[in-house]
Amino acid sequence: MACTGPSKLCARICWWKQCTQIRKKISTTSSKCSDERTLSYFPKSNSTTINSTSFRHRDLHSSNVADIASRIRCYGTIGTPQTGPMPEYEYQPYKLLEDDLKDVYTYIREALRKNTYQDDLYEIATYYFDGHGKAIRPMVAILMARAINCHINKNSNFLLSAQREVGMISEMIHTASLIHDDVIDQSDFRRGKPSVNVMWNQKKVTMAGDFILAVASMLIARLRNNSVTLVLSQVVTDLVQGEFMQLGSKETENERFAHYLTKTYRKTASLIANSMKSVAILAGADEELCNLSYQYGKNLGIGFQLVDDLLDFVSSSEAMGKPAAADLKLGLATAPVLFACEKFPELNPMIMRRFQEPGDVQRAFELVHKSEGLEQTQFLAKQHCQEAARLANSLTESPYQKGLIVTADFVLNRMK
Amino acid sequence: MNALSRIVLARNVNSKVLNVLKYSTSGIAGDRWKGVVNNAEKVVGYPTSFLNLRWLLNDEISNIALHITKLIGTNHPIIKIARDLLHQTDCPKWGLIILLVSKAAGINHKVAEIERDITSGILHNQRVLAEITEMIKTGHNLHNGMMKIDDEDDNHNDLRFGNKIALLSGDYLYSKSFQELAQLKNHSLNEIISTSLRDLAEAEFFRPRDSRRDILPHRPCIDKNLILSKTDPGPYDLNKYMGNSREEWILRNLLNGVNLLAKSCKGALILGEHPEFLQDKAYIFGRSLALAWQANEETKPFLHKSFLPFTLVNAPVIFQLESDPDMYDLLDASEIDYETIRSRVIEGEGVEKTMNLQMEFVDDALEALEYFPESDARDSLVKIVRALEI
Repeated sequence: MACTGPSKLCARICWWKQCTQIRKKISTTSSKCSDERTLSYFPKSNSTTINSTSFRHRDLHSSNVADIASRIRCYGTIGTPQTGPMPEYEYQPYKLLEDDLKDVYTYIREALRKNTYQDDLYEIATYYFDGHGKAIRPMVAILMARAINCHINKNSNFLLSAQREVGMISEMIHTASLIHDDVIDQSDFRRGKPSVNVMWNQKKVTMAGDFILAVASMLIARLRNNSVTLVLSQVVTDLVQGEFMQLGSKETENERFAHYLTKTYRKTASLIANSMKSVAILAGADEELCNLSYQYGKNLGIGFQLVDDLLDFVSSSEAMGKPAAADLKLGLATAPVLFACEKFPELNPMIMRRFQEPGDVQRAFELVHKSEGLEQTQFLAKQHCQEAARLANSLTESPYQKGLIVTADFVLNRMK
Repeated sequence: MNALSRIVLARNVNSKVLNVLKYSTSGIAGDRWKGVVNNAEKVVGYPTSFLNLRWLLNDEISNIALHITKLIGTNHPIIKIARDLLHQTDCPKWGLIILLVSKAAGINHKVAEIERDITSGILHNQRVLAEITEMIKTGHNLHNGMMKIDDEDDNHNDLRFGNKIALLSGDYLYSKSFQELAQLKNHSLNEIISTSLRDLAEAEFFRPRDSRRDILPHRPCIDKNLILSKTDPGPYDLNKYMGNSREEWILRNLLNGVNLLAKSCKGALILGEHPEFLQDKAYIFGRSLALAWQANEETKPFLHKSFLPFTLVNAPVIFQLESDPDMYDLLDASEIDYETIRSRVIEGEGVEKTMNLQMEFVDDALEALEYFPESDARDSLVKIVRALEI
């Protein structure tokens, strides 16, 4: 249900209208599944979900997102087979992959260092590889790689160096696109520090982005695998096309949501999905397994971005490392706004003028909080993460496979 | 398409740019060049407009074109880049050189029949590579055309928008070239072209720059005498060469595009499955040709009664510094007097030294061609090189 090809996106719009009905069902079942056992996969710290104090706006009508989230979480575990209580720390992805991940940034910096003697270029190019990022892309890529390896090779535990490199490459492509985004969006802050855009001139920053991409492309070529090269080159095309879609949207209200989801796929999910597919190809997986891996990444990626768009409305700027309501200020209408349009049609003209008139941002922000936009966004994200978990569940059981399921939950319930 | 025609018709407010267009295409040397190129185009049996319709008839490009029209009237360099692209004024076409090199090397019997184009003796893959090279070159031109903007500048918002479009359209061309490269399914080629992308990015980071944010050459250092190898693919330790006029000038240009042509020439032979020995000759040929052409272009502002603008890293300026180190004060001044520099270079040895270097590259290019079998394609390449003889 939740796996959407770009062509099927229109169906999505009709589909979510049914969500309201489903949601009513959730609230009726929620009391029945409040059993502690269903939460046992997840560390306690996650179970508080979105802290209600972090809401800027308190008068969410019927209920708050925290309630919805915990209700939905119970709902999500109904469908998955229970494997009994487990020690929760055991499947924490970052713990599981501690050894694999600790050197990712060092390797990336080394690869960049080997390719230039120019200190200022190196400085800009490594500015975001300071080790403070979440490294979520390498994390899921390596997690999937190990899970697939276990699946194919009957629980033998190993990681191919090529698979590790795909993890690195995905982080490099991501960072190159972040750097270019900083120039395009004129952003001042990212990850709690001044963005590259304010530190250096735009041309240098652009070239530093190109440099990271060039080195990533060299690493890809050195993997000596044609399918992986093709899959990862598609990512770059998707990223650029996604950026173009963000530049201007003239579609009608009906097309808008499909446009948003396609953009989300291209800008965020494609990279995760295709690096998942790449590690599967490298493992020697058949087409079906590669596709499973891809679909997991795609759902996870879309879920991830939906949560990101949600957090832009509810999280404090300190937690995010960038200003709140940043998307609105950039003129972007994300899922919460698009959902809110249903209830408050006066948002439509604001979307069309990209929230440029004085007071638009504030007004839109308030309307989103008055509507059910945040819950609906959370619900849609939930659907995607749940689908990802379902796919991961069909792999042979292993700590990494469990880790993939935990990751889907982590993505949904993260605070920043 | 309407947007495209508006770009072509737009009059540039910057008269300096118009001057460049007028002077660079006139004169006897220009005519000789045109004749050689026309002849070469017949050899490869292909119109060398690499501005493929496939690029133009899609959403992204029409989107870009529409946005660019908004910038007409500002002095953002993207207008000139777009117009040159549509007018095809910036010769020589590197794609053409790559096709000629491909054909000159001949078709290796190891290559499958289906890959070959019997009428012209060039592989389909090599044609794609020629296109990729042109895409990367244009993409880099777009990124390179981004301006350094201050908040105090007039219409800085328009200029920022220009930068945004330049960045996005450059990225678009880069992403297309990645995709096409991947489809060629050749790892060695993919790797070498990626290194040329790295070189292009590195070119922006030459030190030092002067206070007006123009490029400034390094102070001459006579004790640096390390010579760059003719086949060194980089990355280069610039500090070892900066201040050594000849090598500094070569490096600046290698990174800023020459290596792209040279590596693509080598790449064409990788696709043709030719021996490594010949691949290296193709690299040296591409490198020498592009450097000779560059030296020739950079001499023009210092010829009799020229008004062409020049930068402080033009070859004659750098070479003048070698014999006249005191001139550095003029370059380092807060207000640069270009006319004084021009006359000082014209009176000095800078121009002569540049011409000598140009002849050196012409000889290198001709020597590299001797390793290719005799053919009409090789003859065309020889003619192109000879058009740069002084």
